[in-house]
Amino acid sequence: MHNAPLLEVIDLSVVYGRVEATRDVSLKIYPGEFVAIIGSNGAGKSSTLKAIAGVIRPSRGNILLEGMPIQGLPSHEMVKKGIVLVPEGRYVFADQSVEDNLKLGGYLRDSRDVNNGIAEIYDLFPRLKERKDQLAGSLSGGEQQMLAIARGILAKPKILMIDEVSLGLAPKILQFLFPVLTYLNEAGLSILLVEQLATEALAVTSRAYVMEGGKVTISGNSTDLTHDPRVMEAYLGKKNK
Amino acid sequence: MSHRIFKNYFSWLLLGLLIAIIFLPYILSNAYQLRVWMLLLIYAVVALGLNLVVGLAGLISLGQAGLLAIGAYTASILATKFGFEFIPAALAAMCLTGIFGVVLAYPTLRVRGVYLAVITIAFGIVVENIAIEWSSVTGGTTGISNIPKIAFFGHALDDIGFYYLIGMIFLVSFIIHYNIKKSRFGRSMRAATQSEIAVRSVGINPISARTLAFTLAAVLTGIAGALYAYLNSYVNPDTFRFLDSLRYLLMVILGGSGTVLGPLLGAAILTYIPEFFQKFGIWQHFAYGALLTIVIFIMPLGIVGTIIFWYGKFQPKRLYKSNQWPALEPLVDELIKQPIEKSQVCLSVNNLTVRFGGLVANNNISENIQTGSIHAIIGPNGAGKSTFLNCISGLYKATDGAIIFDNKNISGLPMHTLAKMGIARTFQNTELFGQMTVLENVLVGFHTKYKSGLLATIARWPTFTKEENHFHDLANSLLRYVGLDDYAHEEARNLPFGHQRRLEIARALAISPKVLLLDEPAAGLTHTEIEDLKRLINSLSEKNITIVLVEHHVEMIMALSNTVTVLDYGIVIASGTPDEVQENPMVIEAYFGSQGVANA
Repeated sequence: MHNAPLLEVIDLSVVYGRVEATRDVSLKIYPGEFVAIIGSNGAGKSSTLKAIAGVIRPSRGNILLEGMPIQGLPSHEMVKKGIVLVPEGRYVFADQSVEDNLKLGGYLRDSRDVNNGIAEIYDLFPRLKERKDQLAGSLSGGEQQMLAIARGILAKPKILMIDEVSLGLAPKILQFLFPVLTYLNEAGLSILLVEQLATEALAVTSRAYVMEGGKVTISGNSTDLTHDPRVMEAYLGKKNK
Repeated sequence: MSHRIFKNYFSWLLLGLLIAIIFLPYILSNAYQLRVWMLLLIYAVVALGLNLVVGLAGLISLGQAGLLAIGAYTASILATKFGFEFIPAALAAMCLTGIFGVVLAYPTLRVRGVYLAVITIAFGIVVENIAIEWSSVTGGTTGISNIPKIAFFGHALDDIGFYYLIGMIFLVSFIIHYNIKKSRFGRSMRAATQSEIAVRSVGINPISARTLAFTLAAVLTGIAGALYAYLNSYVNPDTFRFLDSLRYLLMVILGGSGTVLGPLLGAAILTYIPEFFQKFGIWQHFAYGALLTIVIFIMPLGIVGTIIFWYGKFQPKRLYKSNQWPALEPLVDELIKQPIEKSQVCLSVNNLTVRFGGLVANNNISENIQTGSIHAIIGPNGAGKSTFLNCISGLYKATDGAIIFDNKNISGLPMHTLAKMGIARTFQNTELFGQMTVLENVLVGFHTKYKSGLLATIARWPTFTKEENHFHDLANSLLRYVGLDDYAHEEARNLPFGHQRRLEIARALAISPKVLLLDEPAAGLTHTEIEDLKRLINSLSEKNITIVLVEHHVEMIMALSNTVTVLDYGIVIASGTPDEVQENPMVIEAYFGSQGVANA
């Protein structure tokens, strides 16, 4: 059903200092897909997202958005192109109000559209509406994650990339957040998710890439990966019997 | 053994400088050129001192000309009015400027950055004006003249002799600067600017680190001031202005702040270039300003800093990996093992309340934490778990209530004091010294365990070297314990998030804690890594370290903990064994959610 990929990453390499974080990573995301990248710490997942978002410059490789090369652009240009990252650790603007954080998310868009967008966000996350005048820094971890995702959505991305949605969140919040992501995807948003909780990530996505030591080692259908013995033992904490 | 710490390049550098200084007078054609070199070396001493403040402690001082003036005037007054010889006059100058160094460090208790810069500017202006107005002592605008030639025990020194004296003082300053930079003192200064909270958490008071930087800088500026006065044979307020302070700061920044050779290079350029530009006549200031602007724009790290940066760029790259962990070696075992305490309760919290404005983050919490146990604190986001940890570790002050540890009420004591008593912690959002290496991060943790003092460190006493080697071995062993030895010489900020958490644990263990507070250690870890972490925490518990654990990975908490306390809206809603808590309906409602524990 998909023909041209929305986002294509070809042989991407990222280096920090002397650390080679990723080596020759290739990925494809088709329009409307919900894709996960899983793998242990140091596998290069966050580095891949950061390179796609323009937060760090890749040392080698190509990134194509709808067939056009975009690698090497700074992150604010990437947002204009429609690539938006919800960073690991959330990075909300702590001393501005929740509503101002949301408005900043829609900085590049027409303010009327943004206001409509904010109204929709409040329907999706009633907690943010209750706290719209509060400083973002005073929110709990779960609320900050909602805010970070909402801020990302308000940029009206072609693809939303989320780094570690579960980081430091209580089980009850996760039971709320993962279905929200599924809902957003069903409404047409393409999502690329990096997640340590492989079980949860594979349950909500349709496809996934497994990274190990800076490279993509396994990729495929999420349900198939759930039963893949290599994935089960290493990432799902289940012994293969 | 010692080659690991005394990098060979420094010995060669020192030898090169020594030879250059010895033979320079034979190359120079006249006395004027020799004088320029003497001035250059004096400025280099000022810049070396300032580099401790700017490059290591990350602070700004725009008042160094004021300190130089205090040194120069003290020496001049003692020499002309009281007939002091050089040695006592210079010592007095160093003592007085040292005292003013402490005074200048005092504002860092409250302010840093731009505000500190303004305060130091004000200091410089005050000194300049005192020099102008207090004419009975300072000679007013005309200053003090007829400063005698430098003499030792009645024997006057000729120009070449004076030059060698300056050269020797420069070399000693250069060695002191290097030895401070490559010691626990230099590390604590660098660490304090990168994370003040984290240095406190390993028992270092950041104010002491900053005061030391300012004081050493002031003492070096003091002797430079004395030399400056003798070199010119007069002093007046004209040479101690704000623009002079600015020039000293520029020397450090242009040469490369924080580097070993930067201050010397910066001093050389800013002393020689104005001489060179004199032929441009009225254009000289313009050319000078343009050059500075361009160089600093192209090389924000300074000349030496930029060279080091590009050198690093061409170093071979490779994939790093975490090794098998936890790997407990006898060295670490000996370091972290705690004696079995007779008392059962390690930490006792009584009616703890913390308010932030109208918000009650912790409401009347009472809890006993057993010695050597693993005590988990769970609850929804925003329930007050981190606040509870922050109170025990001294980061926050409780509004009300008592925290009893070691039979003392520790409520309200600062974090660095508690760290020395044996309370260590990690941080939810990781607080590492990002621009220091992984190994250095752990070494900072050992700071309070060093016995060699400042003098032994500066002089590289054998006891110091032995101790430094010992802690290097221990730090490497701790890194192997958490599986990060492959990364030892990489900057901590380049580590993946999950590895940063492990590095924080290694650093916390360096203080041999009785209690270790872990704030979400499993966040961002995969299932396999959580299994390793569980083994690590269990091995710590076997060494009688009391663990207080804030976590959301329910399966891990239930597998590890002896006691689980559940907070909701700042109140303890349940406390007991994992089984008891898991079945408590209030906990299921508040925390696990409708799907219950099975799916959490």
